[in-house]
Amino acid sequence: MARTSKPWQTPGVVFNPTVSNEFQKGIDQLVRLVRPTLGPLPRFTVDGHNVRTRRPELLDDGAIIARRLIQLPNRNQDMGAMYLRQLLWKIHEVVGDGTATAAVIFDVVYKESVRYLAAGGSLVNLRKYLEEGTRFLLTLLDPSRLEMSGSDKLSRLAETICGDAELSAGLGEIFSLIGPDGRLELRSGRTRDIQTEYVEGSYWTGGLFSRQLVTNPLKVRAELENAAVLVTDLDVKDPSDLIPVLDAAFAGGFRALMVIARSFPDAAVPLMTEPKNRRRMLMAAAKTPGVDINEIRTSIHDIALLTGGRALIKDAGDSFEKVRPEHLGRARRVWADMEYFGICNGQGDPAAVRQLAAELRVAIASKEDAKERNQIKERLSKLVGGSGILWVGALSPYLVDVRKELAGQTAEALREAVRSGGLPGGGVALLDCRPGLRERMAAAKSTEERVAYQILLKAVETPARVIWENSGNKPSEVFSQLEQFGPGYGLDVLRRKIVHMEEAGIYDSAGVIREIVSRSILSASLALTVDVLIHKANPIDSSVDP
Amino acid sequence: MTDSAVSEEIIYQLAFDGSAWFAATNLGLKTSLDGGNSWNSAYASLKVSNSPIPTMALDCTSQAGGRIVLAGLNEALLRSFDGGENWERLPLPSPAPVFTCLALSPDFAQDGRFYAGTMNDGVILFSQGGQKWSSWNFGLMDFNILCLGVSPVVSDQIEQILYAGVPTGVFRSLTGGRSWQELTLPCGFEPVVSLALSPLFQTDGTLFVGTESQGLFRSRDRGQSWQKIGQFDEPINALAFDGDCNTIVLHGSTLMISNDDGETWDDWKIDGLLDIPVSAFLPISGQGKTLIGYWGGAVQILTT
Repeated sequence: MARTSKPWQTPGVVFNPTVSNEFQKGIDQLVRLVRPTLGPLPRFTVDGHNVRTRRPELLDDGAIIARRLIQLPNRNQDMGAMYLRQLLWKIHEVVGDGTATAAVIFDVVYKESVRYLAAGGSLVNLRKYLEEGTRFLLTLLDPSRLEMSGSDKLSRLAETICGDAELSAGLGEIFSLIGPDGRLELRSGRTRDIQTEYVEGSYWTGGLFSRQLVTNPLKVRAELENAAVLVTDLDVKDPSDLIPVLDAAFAGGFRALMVIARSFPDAAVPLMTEPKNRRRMLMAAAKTPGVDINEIRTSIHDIALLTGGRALIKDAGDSFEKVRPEHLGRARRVWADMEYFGICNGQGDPAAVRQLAAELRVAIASKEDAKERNQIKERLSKLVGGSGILWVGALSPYLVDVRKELAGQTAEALREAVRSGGLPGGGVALLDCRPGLRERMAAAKSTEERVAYQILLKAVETPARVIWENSGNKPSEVFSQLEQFGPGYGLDVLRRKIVHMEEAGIYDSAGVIREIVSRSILSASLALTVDVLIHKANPIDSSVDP
Repeated sequence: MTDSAVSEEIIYQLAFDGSAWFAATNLGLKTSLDGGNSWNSAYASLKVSNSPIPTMALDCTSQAGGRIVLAGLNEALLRSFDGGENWERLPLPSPAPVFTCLALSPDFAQDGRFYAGTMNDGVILFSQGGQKWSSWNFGLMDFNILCLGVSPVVSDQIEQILYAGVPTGVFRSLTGGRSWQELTLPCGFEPVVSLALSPLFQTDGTLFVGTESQGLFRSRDRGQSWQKIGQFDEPINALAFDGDCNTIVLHGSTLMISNDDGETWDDWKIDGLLDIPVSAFLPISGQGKTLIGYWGGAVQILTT
């Protein structure tokens, strides 16, 4: 019996002009899915079958829509759609917002460029000028940048991102306090409301080894003042291991001691809780934070740095017998409950802490992998100190999960806005770049350069145009109204009137806009170079999430 | 403590409320009600021997006949409503901090808020005239506060802007001292021992910071960017603006003045200035006078 292969399993090679046509059709399909969600009055895309609820799902987030698009039936078109999908997901991972804007900008740049190339234009030159124009466009955005601080401003920005006023108020308040590097923890609330809580200093997962070590029964936690801190990845195997540590603490003049170790024997608890011993040295012991070896290493390194001590490391041949007073760190206050322990006002070298924080900021900017970036961000937040906890409540556990996911995405965008500042929202920041681009276009020395700036002009107009269309306004009418106003003015689509965006409190994150502009234009420019598609017999399962 | 006094006394800080002079010295807090002719210990009612007093703050705007004086000691903060006649101890966090500097809210008479810089405990925020305290210090990575500055004008919409000089540079708070942002000085992690905000800070965003060994820096955008100005080879121990917006620095123990926003500096030549190293000064705004404190304990008021 002859073996028949399915169309998706047929190997093959596809050349132009089919590639451009099909690639564009695939991109077009994804853009049409995402485009209606742009702006504060979005239209929805319906996913017919949500895996968890088994009901149709209304989607208004470009990244989620892109993620739910698993495959297009046509293999050539699928490649175009997946190319754009990867871009959108990357933008979502890096900045947490702006995927719909990126999609429409990508679409315009790609389509217009393909049209020019079909008429015989030079790809190499066009790409060169598109890339040059993108760098110029980024410089045009800089002067409009606004400092994003204060609860009100941040809440308004959050609301433009997530549309949930209560959630936005909580996030705005938290980010006005924790800043761009601070720690935010999202927890499921026990009520329907959004609540905020703050923790001074830094804290880690790893609670007390025994409830008997509690010193404040009301709060069920141990609280030490002016404490010595010993941090190690060693196991305390016997109560006698603690004797050199106690000797070192006494020699250092301490009256309180916190031991952070991998394990702790029950037999050591009476030594620490004996009233006579407690009067001489108040002690507590908590578990070393971290699951894998890297996490443990970085945690103990950072705790030692913050407290000015030296960590005892098993692999370095350290043991408890070798403890000296200089190994002990110091902190003004240390606490530990049954889940966490925390340090307030560690007495480490501030210059070393600030230096490490600066290095981590650079590392965050250079890491492409979202998981690695998040790990570094969490580490940085503990060095910086001060944490906000957002208790997310809703009507049902499912809605709590949905709201928490929304809070997480909005938080990323807010963090970026606090770090990089804000820009007038509603697409106005990009619209205000038009005079600068027109000047460059007028001074262009070649056709390709002029065309590149024409394409960029169209690209910067598109987000605003789509927002207006989605809210039921005619772009031509809005453009003619805007001609009477200066820079910074745009259409407030909720109130349906022209306003000064900054005065009306309508912002976008500068970091998000910059990321969208550079990634979407450069990515579209790169897509123009695709000439050949190769289909393999067993394509990689594209249903796997990126 | 007279002009001719020669002792080991060092004046850290001076204050003036229109009638009384106060001097925080290494031997305690002194007050004079007769223009500096005679000085008495403001701690007399405490019946303690001379205690070191690192810092103090004086509410010159207080109405209702009282002069509020705040005095920070090791592990204690005292408040007096009668210009130092009687004192009360204010509630503090535990463990009790060592205070290094105090800064009153510009609207202290109304809001009763002030800020206390500490050694090892960051900045503590006090409200209700000192009856309540809170400690946040989010983002403050150096808890040793050397000097504090508060934005001079209060607006209902904008939280007070604070600057804190620390051994590794300077931090800024846009949230009334609850959270802090690192500001990057061109000289790296250098101790900032003095700072002053322009009287027109709300409009011009200008502030100066003085460092221990790297001279003086100016920012015209609330601390976002800094320019090194002048040639100073000794610590900038104190910084202030006088009533005419001239900038005055205590360079080592020499007073210098700039009347062009810090571009050029000259020795400040005042008639009557003693030939003794200066340890503190206080321009009295609106009166054209300046209080000068010297090493050895002498204090003068000079017309400038």
